[in-house]
Amino acid sequence: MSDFDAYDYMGRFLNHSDSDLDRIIEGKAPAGDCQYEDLASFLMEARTALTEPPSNETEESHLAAIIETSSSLIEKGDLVVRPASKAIGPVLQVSGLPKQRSGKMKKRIVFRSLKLAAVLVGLMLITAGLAFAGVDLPGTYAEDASRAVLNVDIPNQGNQNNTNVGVEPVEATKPAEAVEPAEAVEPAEAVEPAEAVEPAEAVGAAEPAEAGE
Amino acid sequence: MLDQNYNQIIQAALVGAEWAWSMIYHDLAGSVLGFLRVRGAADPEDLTGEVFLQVVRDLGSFQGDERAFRTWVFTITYHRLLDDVRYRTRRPENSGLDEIMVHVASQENTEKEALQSLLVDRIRNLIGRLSSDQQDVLILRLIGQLTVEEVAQALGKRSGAVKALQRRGLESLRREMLKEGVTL
Repeated sequence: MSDFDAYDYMGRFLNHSDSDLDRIIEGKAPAGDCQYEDLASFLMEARTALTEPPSNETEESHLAAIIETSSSLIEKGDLVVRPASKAIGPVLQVSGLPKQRSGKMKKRIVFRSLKLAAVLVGLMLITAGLAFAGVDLPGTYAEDASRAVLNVDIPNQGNQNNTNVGVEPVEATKPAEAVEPAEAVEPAEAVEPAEAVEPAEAVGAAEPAEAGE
Repeated sequence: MLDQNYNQIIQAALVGAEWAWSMIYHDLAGSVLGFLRVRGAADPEDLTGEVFLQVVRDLGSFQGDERAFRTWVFTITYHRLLDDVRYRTRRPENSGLDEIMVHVASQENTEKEALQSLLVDRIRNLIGRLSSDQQDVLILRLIGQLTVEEVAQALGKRSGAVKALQRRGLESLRREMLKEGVTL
C-alpha cells in the first residue's frame, strides 16, 4: 500500500471521541494531536468561504419578495399567526357536505320522496276505484284478529249497506259467512222443543194403557 | 445568531415587520446559500429565495426556540434541494435565454467574487468526492452549525446513522486531502 494506509488511518480515527470530532468540525484539531490540523484548518476555511452572504442585488430582490409575500398573506386574511394548538377547538369552517355533493343529495331526496308519493297516490286511486266498482275489499287486520281470538264474526257493514242499495251480484259471497252464527245457535233451539215434548208423550202413552185395563 | 431577541424577531416577522425579516435573512441566507452551492443546486441564489419564501408562508405553523428554527430552515432547504434535483433529472437543461443572461451576468463579477468562486469550486471538488449522505451531514454540521441530533432531524435519519456518516465523511475527506496534497 502507499504511504497512506487506510486501515491504520481509519483505526486512528475511530479512536477519536464524539467531542474530538466536534472539535474538528469546529476547525480545531483534537487536543494533543497535530495529525488533524490540516483537516481542521480546511474545514475552518471551508466554513468561512461557504457562508458568504449573497450579493447585494440578490439580497434586495429576496427581501423584496419576502416582504411582498408576507404582506400579501396578511392582506388576504390568510393569517400568518395561527393558534399554537387545536386544544381550544378545530378551526371554524362551513359544516356539511361540499356544495356540489349537497345539491346532488337534495335532488336525490326530492326524487325519491316524489316516487314514494306517486306510489301511495296510485294505491289509493286503485283502492278507491275498486270500492266504487263494488268489489269486496279484504277486511282490516282488526277484523281478522278478533275473528281468530274470539271466534266471533263481525258482520260486514259494507255488505248490509250493499243489500240496502240493492247491488245483486256481490251479495252472493257474503251471506254464507253471515249465516254461521245462526247455524251455531240452531241446535240449542232444537233441543228445547224435544225436552218439552217428552212428558207429554209419556203421559199420552200411559193414559191409553191405563184406559185399556 | 438571533440570540436573545429571537422571540421578538419571530413575533414581528409574523406580522410582516420588514426589519425582522431582514434580520432573519442576514442570519441564515449565507449558510443556506452555501449549503445549496456545495450540494450542486442549479441556481443556488434562486433556490435560496424560494427557501425563504417558504419560510414566510409556513412560519405561522412553526413552534420552537432558535435552534429549532435553524433546524427547520435547513430542513426546508434540504427538501427544496431534493425537489430541484428531481426536477432537473426529469427535465434536461436547455440553453435558453436564461442561461445566456446568467453568462452575461457572470462576466460582470468582480475579481474578489471570482476568487471566491474559485475557492468554493475547490472545496466543492473535495467534498464532492464523498458520498451524498456524507456531504449532507458534513455540510449541515459545518455550514448550518447544527448538532448531530439537529442534522438527524433535518435529514430524517437517526442520530447514530448521522454520527457514523460524519465519522466516515471526515475520514474520507482527510484521505482525499492527503492524496491530493490540498492546501487552501
